[in-house]
Amino acid sequence: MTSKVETAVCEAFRVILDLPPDPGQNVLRKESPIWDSLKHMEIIFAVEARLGIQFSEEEMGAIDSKDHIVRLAVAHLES
Amino acid sequence: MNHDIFLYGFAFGLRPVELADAEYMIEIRTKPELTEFLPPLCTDPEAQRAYLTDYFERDGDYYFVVERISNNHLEGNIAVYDVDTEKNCAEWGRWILDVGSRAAIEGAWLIYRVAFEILELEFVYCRTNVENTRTLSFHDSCGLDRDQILPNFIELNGKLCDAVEHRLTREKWPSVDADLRAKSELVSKVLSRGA
Repeated sequence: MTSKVETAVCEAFRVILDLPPDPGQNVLRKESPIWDSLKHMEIIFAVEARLGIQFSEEEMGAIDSKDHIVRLAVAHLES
Repeated sequence: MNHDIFLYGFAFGLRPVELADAEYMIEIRTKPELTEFLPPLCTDPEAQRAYLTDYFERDGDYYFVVERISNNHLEGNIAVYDVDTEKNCAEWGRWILDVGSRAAIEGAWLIYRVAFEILELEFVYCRTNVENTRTLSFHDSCGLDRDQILPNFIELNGKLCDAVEHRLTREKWPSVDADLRAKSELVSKVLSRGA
C-alpha cells in the first residue's frame, strides 16, 4: 500500500515541482521555495486523482511535506 | 479611492476596503508569520484610519478586502494602484492573506479580473522582494513573465533589496484567466467538501 502511494506522490512531485525525489527522501515545503501555494494545490489534486481519494480542507492546509502526504493518503486508502 | 467594485468568484470575493477595516488591516499586518517581507506598520488605529481617509481621496487606487463567500470570513487584502492612464497599466500588490487562507489562487485571479475586465488595463505588474522566493514562484506558476530586476528597490529593516517585476499583459491574460479560473474552481470544490 505505502509503496503504491509513495510512487504516486513521487510522480506528482516529479511532474509538478520537477523534483524527482528519491522515494526514501522527504521533501519539506518550508525548504522548497518552488512549492508555492498554486503548486501546493496542483500536488493535492494530482495525488487525489491518482489515488482516488479526497483530502479535507484541514488536511490540505496542514500538509507540509512529501511524507505527510503519503501518510494521509495511506490513511485514506485504509479507512 | 472610494471605489464601488465588488467581484465574487467561486469561494472568495473582493469588496472595497472601508474605514471600519482599519483594525483588521493592522491585525493581519502585524502577524509575524505574514510580515517577513513587509515593512513595519504603525499599529495605531487612528493612524490607519488617517491612511485610509487619505486613500479614499486618491485616484487610481483600488484597495480590497478578500472575503470567503460562504461565511464572510476576512481572508486578507489586495490592491491595484498607481494606475497610469497614459500607458493604461497599474501595479498590483499590498497582498496579504491570513495564515491558513486558501484564497491565494482565487485572490490573484480576481485581482487580474479587476485589472483586465473592469479597469480594462493593458497590463499589470507586481514587484516582489528578490528574497521572497515563494511569492516569486507563485507568480511564475501563474504564468506571469519576469519583466525586469529593480536593483535596491525595496528597503526592509534598513537593508536595500532588489525586486523582481512580473508582468501580465492583456494579450496573455486569456490563458492565465483560463488556468486560474479552473484552479480556483477546483479549490472551491475542496472547500465545499466540509460544508
